[in-house]
Amino acid sequence: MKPMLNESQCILRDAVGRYLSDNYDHQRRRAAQSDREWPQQLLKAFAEDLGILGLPFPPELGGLDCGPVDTMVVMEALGSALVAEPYLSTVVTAGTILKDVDTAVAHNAISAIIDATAIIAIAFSQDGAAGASSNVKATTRSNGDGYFLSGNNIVTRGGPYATHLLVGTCMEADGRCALFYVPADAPGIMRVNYSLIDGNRACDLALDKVAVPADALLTSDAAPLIAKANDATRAAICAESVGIMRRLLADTVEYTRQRTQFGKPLSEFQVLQHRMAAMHVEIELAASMALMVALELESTPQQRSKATAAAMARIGRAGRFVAENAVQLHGAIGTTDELAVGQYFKRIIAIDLLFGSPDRHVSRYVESCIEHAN
Amino acid sequence: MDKGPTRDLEAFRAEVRAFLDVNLTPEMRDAAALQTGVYSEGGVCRSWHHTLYQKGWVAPSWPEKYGGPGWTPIQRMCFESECAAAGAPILPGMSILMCGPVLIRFGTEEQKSFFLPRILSGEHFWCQGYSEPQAGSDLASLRCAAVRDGDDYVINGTKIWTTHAHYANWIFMLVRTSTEGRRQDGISFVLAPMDTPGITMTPIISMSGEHEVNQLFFDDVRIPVTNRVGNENEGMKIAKYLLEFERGGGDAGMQVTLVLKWLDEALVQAESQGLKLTDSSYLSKRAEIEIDLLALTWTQRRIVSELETGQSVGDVSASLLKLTASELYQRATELALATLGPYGAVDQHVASGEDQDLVGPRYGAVFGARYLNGRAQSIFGGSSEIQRTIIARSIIGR
Repeated sequence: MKPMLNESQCILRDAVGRYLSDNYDHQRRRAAQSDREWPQQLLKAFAEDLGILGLPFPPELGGLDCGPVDTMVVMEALGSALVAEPYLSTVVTAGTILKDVDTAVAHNAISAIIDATAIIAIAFSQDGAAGASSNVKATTRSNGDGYFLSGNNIVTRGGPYATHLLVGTCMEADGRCALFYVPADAPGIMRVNYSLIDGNRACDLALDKVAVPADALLTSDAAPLIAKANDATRAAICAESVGIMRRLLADTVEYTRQRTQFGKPLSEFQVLQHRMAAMHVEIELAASMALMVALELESTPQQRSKATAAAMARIGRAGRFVAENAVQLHGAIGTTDELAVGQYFKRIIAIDLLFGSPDRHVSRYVESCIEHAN
Repeated sequence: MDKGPTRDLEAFRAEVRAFLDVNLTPEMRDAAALQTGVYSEGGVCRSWHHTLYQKGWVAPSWPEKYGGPGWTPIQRMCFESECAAAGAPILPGMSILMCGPVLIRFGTEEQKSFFLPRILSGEHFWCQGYSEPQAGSDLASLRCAAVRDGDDYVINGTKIWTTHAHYANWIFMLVRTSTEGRRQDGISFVLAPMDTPGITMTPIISMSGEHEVNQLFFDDVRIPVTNRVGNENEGMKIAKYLLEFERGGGDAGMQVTLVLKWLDEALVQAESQGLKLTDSSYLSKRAEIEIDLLALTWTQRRIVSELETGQSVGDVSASLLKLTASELYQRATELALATLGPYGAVDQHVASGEDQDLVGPRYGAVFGARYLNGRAQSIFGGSSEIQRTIIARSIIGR
């Protein structure tokens, strides 16, 4: 089944896909992941060789003025190569916010993203859960010039190496939600760094009266913008998941073709054929949902929210089914750290945990139906 | 079948509980809760083995003559489920559940008198050499060869997925002693000390980042023929014997009970840290797992009850239990991990190497590794697909 892409999107897909498979195979990525400079190198290469860092930004800011379907195409390719971060947080999540803020700081941040001098970590809740993961408060400085930020943000992806943080806060003055763009080396920022099961780096952030100038405030009406960024992130994750699933099935088909037991290749056993057929069906349904949600991103906030809930729920289920069965059909070797299949499996699981389980998104879907009815 | 317990069984259960209350120390319970693999390992494994050995309860399935406590199958099941409810560590099965029963049934008097007491005491720790890179589900196609040379066999080949070979001092293995006739009729069951010259090992790292299994290489490894168990070329019959229900552990649902217990304890820890981890979808998923655990447990009771009245239980029972228990375990570990939300994505194994304190409930720190390791449960010991084939053949006939 061919996706509904126009010609330039097909070219984009092929160019990015070819570049990534030439340069970022499983071995290279595994070897590189322990290198602290890896994320910066990745973005630099994307900037210099592919020019995709400007994808969603307007041309007057140096961007390519592309839409959500183009992002979908790129994210699927990044997913297949398991190199979605830091592009996801920096270009998609942060980019969605910065695009809608008309300040010099925001414009400069976009330029820095495009030339790969800024990597941005997201410090507001993205898993769709209420509360707990992020609780930063902003108070106005007594001299009136700027703010103090204090609080915590757990599991901040990219936090260890980001040049900047996009911090969601509650303003102490009026309780409204605000967004700040903060240099990562500002005094008062503490990190507990660790690795995630998908190999990416993250940290628990603690901000202790971090002083920021007035222009660090991007907006004091951040809730709609955060919702938009989270929905854009979800759509991107959906596309990434499709890319991961395609790779998992391809590896599984390849493996079952050459692995023989009982005198014949595994791919000749009907039970396994049917399993792979079921995986294929899930992937095609998932790809359809990824296209649907990309197209709905520019619709009303309610429609957009409902669409991302549906897509995350359905693609989350598909992802787990495909990933579990990919491991299962590889047999014992699929449970080791050696093959690519285990790495792809762990990214699917990490996505579930970081961005909300299918159940969480079904609940979001229900909520948006109820809201719509009222 | 008696629907309810007898007075004797309740007295037995009380005795087991009293023993656990005193001897399963808080330190052991804590260490057990942090185990991530199919079996416990390290200090807690050795202490618990020793504690049970002192009591005479370390080999519940062995005949009294060889050091078993003389329990009925129902008492064995009761013991295992009380251990699970108390959070006891799961002891590795290779020595007590595999090698021991094989020696009891097929071993010579010399083999029994040498090996059985050492299995009981824990002096010998066994690993199992069955699978090979080219012989997984199709075990009969194994190629590791044992060639007769005087009073010895000389072994050449390789074994893979050997759990805990890095701790073991003995290995029992299936080796090819004949290439004539059917493949499965040319296999023998032999024993070798792990320090025999010519045995080398490489670790295999699991998805969780942990080291549980290995690949072993045998390069002109010489063992006396007296280390063979049973007749030459009878090895597959011995391997099949081990698959029968009676040889298995006492409680197929034990692992699932443990996962749920440790999840409950993690949730209590989380609450005390001000974290609320569960929601309504958790509750309904948890309920479904408990309901399926009831079905598994009562199925095992029915099977055990048939055994007690002397009926044959057939091949299907072990397959049915393994298939059901392994997939239920996977659902339980998945649920536990899901409660952690974003913290579940942290690679705690790497972090513990970097010597860090992480936020989140203490017992939750192992949910990720336990889930990842658990993916192997539907693969090892006969994959779920193989178990379904066994069941289908049994009910349909060939």
